[in-house]
Amino acid sequence: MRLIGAICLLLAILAVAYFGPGGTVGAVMFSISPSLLTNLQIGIQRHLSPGLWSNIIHPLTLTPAWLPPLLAGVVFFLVGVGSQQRR
Amino acid sequence: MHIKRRRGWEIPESQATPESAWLDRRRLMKGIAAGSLLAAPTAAEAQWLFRRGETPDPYMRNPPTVPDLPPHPRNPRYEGGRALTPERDPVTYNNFYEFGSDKGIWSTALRMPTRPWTVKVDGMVEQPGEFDVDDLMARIGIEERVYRLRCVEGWAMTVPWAGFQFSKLLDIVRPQASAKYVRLETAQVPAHMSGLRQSWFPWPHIEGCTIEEAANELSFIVTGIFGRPLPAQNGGPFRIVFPWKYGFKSGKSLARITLTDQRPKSFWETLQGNEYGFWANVNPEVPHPRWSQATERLIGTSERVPTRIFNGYGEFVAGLYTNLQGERLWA
Repeated sequence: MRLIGAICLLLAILAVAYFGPGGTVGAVMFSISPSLLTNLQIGIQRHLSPGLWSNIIHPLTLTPAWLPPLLAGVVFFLVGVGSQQRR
Repeated sequence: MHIKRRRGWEIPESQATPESAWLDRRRLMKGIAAGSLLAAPTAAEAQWLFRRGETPDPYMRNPPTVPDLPPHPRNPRYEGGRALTPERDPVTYNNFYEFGSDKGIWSTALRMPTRPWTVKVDGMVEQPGEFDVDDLMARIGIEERVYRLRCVEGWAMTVPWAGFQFSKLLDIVRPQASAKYVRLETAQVPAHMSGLRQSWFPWPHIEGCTIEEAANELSFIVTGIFGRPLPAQNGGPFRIVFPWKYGFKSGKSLARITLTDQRPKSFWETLQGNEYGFWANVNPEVPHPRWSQATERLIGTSERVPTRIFNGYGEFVAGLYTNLQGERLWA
């Protein structure tokens, strides 16, 4: 768990270093593939739920790219530390 | 003797939290949630996040002083050939990425004032200028045309647009002989267009056509819908409509029109040129890479009807494309 957390934290640092503090999740996805986001949007809206895109995925694309790996890293790290202390 | 014993969960009415305080608390919690997501969102962003404060009238004028349309008799040459879409649907079911990426952006879009509004026409023209939208309507005169609208996504509407033929504006600015294309640029209003925060998109939204397409009698500058001023969610106050092309080609809320000898690269062409090309003429026999274009769903009734080549306007426009071998005309 702590290793996964450390990897996530490293990803957060890399995201800041590579895309800057203002780089968003959407910008990162767009840099990977310009059509990725629009295909994802169309797929979700047509086959799953328009609300899923509008209310969850789309706001997520506007968050800073470092935020999701940072949060995941902290959670994994804390869970890892907690489980080690219980042993 | 009746003794009322109060249960643990019962409290007197006087101790109940006042409704206003409760509502404020809910508002506060939503504000905190929004703040943690997006660090101090603006009112427009919070409204966008929570879909709050929807206005009841999708035809609302912003500002309220937007004038009525000048008289605009219906031109019988352009009839839809099928029932009009119910009046509320075309103004509440819209694609307009500057305001958001779902179909329900109308209440957000209505917050954008549509007056004063000017359109700059420049590039390869003899008489460039910046035109006020109301002055243009008064100068050229407007009419009503019923056009079929076919979206590349597979839905369709039948709408009475008010406006004037694009060629009449071209007559005013007089294109130079070297002008081959028309570049159509949508306005950017960051204070009201929360979609512009999607910084990875190639803003401003550009569309384009050839000078021959622009001069075709069907190319129509739209300033009204169902007899009322065109609301922002439909591209108000000033948009273009090419009814024989998929809807994304019809640029909305135009701020600038440039005549050029360079073929403009459109917004969607930049994003996914293999799916949304420059020409994008309607053809039921050429499927989108991920869905068929053989039929279309009519908004309002959900009836599915066959799609026609050039959206049924072949008699007006097929001649524009007879000498264009090697061009991908249908997507």
